[in-house]
Amino acid sequence: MKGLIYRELYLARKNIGVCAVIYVLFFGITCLMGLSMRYGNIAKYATWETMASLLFILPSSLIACAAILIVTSAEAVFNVSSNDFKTPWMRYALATPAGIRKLVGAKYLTYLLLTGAALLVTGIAHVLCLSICQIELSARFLLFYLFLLCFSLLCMSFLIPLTFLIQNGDVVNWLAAVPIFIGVIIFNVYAIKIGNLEDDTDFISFLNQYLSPVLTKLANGVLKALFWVLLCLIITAIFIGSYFLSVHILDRIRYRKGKTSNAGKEAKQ
Amino acid sequence: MEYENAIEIKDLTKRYDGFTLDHVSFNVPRGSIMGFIGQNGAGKTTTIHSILNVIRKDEGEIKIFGLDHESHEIEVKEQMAAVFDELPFPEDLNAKVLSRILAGIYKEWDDQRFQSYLERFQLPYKKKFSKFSKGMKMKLQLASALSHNAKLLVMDEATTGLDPVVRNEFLDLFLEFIQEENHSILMSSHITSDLEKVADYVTFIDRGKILLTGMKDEILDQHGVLKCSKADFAQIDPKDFISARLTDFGAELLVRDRAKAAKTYSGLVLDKTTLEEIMLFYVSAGKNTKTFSAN
Repeated sequence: MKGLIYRELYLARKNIGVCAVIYVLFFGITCLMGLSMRYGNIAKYATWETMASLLFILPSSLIACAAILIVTSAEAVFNVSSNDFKTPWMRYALATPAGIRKLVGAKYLTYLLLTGAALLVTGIAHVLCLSICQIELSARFLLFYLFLLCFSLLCMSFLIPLTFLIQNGDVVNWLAAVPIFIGVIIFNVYAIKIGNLEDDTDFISFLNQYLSPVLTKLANGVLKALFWVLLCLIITAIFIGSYFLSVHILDRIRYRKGKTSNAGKEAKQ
Repeated sequence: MEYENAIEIKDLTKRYDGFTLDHVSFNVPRGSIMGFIGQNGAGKTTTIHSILNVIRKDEGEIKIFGLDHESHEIEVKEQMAAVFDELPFPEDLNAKVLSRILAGIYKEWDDQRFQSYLERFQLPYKKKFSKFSKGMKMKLQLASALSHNAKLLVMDEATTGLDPVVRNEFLDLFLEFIQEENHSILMSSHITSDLEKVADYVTFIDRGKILLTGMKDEILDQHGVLKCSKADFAQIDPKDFISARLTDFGAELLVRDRAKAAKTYSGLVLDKTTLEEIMLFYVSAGKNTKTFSAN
């Protein structure tokens, strides 16, 4: 497993590099913007109302940074998978003692490692940036991070098994666009609205308003926490189930023609 | 672990649309090189993929080192290595990274041995595989296959497309590998001359069925090519030959029992044969054409 994860990370290094450059640029601009708002010309001439709304842009930008990193983690996994299906790697890997479970597990673990690292980096950067700019850290942004993670896990739970089902390098590469596309829509439609919310309760109400009217009742205290715990548990269960589904798909494909091997092609010659 | 045959295949069956690997049975004795011969689409790759459990068999039994290859999959695969006709590693890697990857896959990965093979094959340690030639890529595959203490080497057309110098280098290495009494090789190839040099046993497969399996020397000794005129050909009992090739000058027939043919047709020329000729005659016989014309 160690070797397989190392391979995935090594092959994903270009994605990670590009992502790091974008992140540093975006984060740098965000920090400069924050410092300018707090200490620069904007701070000197803006009214308190303008300042308040401007200061809200800053954490939103940081959340955008997190979204970029999470989506890139997914993209890295798809790019490596695409490469796997374009070369005879799967055939070779199935002939090694790694076995199907480890082969599939490496993909899931790599994704989790990259996403975990992305959240850690953005989390630390978020706290640093806000403390430099002396902006209070709001709990609702932590919830937004959690929401991002859940969204990403849910997307990957469906898309990773799909890659094993399709096993076509070119199509798999396009799958990476799915979470990006959905993410961009969600971010564009809801981010500004979320940014304008007053507090955490409003954030939950906001989600409830769009997700399900029944959830509105969960907007307080323990119930609110329970909602998130339940959501996390359900998505974790779906993610684990997705792993077993991928193992099953790859195992079933071994019975089929021309998927993990060129046996069918040879037979038809 | 005591076992007589490195690989035992019994009634292996795999069905595809338009092709069936039909109750294939043969053994690869421990300490030997088995050549696996057949034309394109004969079922060599399907058999090898079934042995490696890359594809699942429909029926039959495959034992490797005396163990079932599915229920003891990991144990068995630790001790075997596969070499394919194409480089399976991403071209973005180099040998240094590959060694780290394979060290995490095989328990007994030996980096020093890998490096010594790289030196022997004059392969660079830090150059990307995308810059390797076909020969270098195959050498790399072989180096990685031999660096985790494998006892069984399974090769699918590994020497195809290589120049004679590299092929010879490979054959020397196979003979070196087989010096250890527990080591065995199963190699499929179109290049029958290579197999004639190194194989102890050969198995012929055609259209999913095993035509012939046994010791190479016995097969070569038993078979012979009978050369005669067209008039003599008409007198020969069809039961005595496998198939025949008619030319403008006469006929050439592959006989199954050279000693018997020598007695029965003492007036005719009877030559020794090669694996390639045996394959051609058997394939021709399988097409239900007892005679065929050569250009």
